[in-house]
Amino acid sequence: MAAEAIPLGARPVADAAPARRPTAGIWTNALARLRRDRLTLVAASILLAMILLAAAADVLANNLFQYGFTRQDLLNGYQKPTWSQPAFWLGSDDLGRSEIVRLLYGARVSLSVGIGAAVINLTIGLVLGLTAGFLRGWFDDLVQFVISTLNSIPSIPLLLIVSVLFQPGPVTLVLILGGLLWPNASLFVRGQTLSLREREFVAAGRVAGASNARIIVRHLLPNVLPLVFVLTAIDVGTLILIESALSFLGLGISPPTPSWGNMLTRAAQDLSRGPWLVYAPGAAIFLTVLCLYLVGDGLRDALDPRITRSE
Amino acid sequence: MGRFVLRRVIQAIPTFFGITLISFCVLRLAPGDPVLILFGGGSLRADEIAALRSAYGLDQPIPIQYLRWLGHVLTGDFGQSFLYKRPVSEMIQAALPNTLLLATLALLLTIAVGVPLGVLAARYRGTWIDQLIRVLGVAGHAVPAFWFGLLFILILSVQFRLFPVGGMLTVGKDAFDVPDRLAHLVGPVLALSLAGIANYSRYMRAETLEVLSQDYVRTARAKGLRENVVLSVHTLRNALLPLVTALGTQIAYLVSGAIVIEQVFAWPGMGRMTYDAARSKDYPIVMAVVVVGSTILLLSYILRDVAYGIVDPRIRRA
Repeated sequence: MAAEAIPLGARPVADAAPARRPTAGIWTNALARLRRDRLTLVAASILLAMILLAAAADVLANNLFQYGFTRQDLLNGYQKPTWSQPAFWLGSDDLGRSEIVRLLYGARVSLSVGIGAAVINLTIGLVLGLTAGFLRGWFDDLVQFVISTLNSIPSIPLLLIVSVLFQPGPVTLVLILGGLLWPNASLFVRGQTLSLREREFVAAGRVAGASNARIIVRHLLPNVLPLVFVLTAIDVGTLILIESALSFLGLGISPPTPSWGNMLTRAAQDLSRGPWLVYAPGAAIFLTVLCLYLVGDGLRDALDPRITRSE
Repeated sequence: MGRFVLRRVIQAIPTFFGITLISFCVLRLAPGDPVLILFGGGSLRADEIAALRSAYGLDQPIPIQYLRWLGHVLTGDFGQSFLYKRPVSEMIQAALPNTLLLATLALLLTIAVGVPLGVLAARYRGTWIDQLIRVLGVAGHAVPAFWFGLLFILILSVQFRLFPVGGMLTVGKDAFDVPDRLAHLVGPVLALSLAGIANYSRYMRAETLEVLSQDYVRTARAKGLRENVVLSVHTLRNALLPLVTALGTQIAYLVSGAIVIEQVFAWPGMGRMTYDAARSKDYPIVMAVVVVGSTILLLSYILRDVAYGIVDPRIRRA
């Protein structure tokens, strides 16, 4: 008998509780909802295809198009889009470079800058939003002060100055965008945290003696993660837009590295000679950002159990 | 109400100093000695450089320099443009009204189109009208504004010659030629308001639907009011309130967006000035633009909060 007695503190509950039942959790439910959401699925597949194409840029340029992204051919400048030669499917630019190959390499730059900066944004936003929202007090005040200051500086002029000073390559640009544009994510996470911290499970955790760090990491973090996924999709889209605008102004990614934005700079210099040079990069930006926003919307609907899709 | 406004203004003061501090630090981080940029460097002797540095106060400790610069800024003196050797404040006075014209018209268009679209979508919720407006809403967000501007120029100005390709006024035309001025405004204002229209229509749709689910709307319907009366009298006013909040973000977007759009349409405003200044490292202009732009933003945030306080008394006491 004595051997059967469970000593205090030996987590009797863990044994007594039935093994974790495969209840439909929020993620399972969300996945099920996503599977029915055709628009989001289409958008996600287009994005996936773009990422694959961007990743395969080298292979495609060497084998299919047989044209490097810096290769010039001045005799073939302003070549109209033509089916006969794969490299000129989308025409060529003023220096006779293949538009489609540059578009592929541009996808690499634009996507990785967008994703990289979004990761930084959301990491900062998540950490500050969670801690400020949970701890409140002077730390929250400090964070809110920094945010309201950053939000009061118009972002493009600020980015303009910073990128003039640092003359960024892709990596610096990621750091600049990531380091300056996190307030939005932080505000959203903080808002969510403020309402979560009043919930019973947080009080229960505290009664059970959990430290602040444990409450934040084990109880709050999993609850804000769905929001973070939605924010990521939308943030990547916004960052791609901002990067393209900066590069278009000649202050983001600078040539010869192609980015969708700086390809448009050259195109804008002589609109009437090569209109196709305006269509393709812009359409690429538009399509990518559109898909990201659609995926973000779809994720939000899928992760929010209150929303019925009857609308 | 007076106390509320006062408190809101006082709250903005530390933010203003934060902005000037950031601006100043960025200026100081700038590579290259301002003296060398100003006077071309090369031909100067070391003692001449030292003399110039002390003449411009650059030999003082950084905190002293900051306070001096701040003192000048507070009296509206932003120094001299490196490139044009003109007072920066003069240049801003010339460029700011052009940008304000653009931004104000874009804001008006945003509200005039975005709000009705959102109400329409909510009114015909679930129908093809709703779907169409929602698709346009997402698309309007995702279009790069500068690309929309380029397309506008390419198709409507270059191919069909319906609108001028850029600038404020056709060269040689009379300065008060209103039709010509309006024609120049169409492209930039459209490009600048696109994202805002998308934003407002989405926002307005959500707000209207929210209000439509309230009890008093059910009461209004129950007493036999026509749907349009319910919508215009009972719903619209309440749904409009939260849109006041969106105004702050919208103005922030307009200030930033103008820089890119002015570049596309060769519009002689703050944006073009900032762009030219940034490219030629004309720091005094860039700093002035940041300070002026941020002040406009701060003021618009205060106005927004005051407006919100007027329509919703609970805010004032918070």
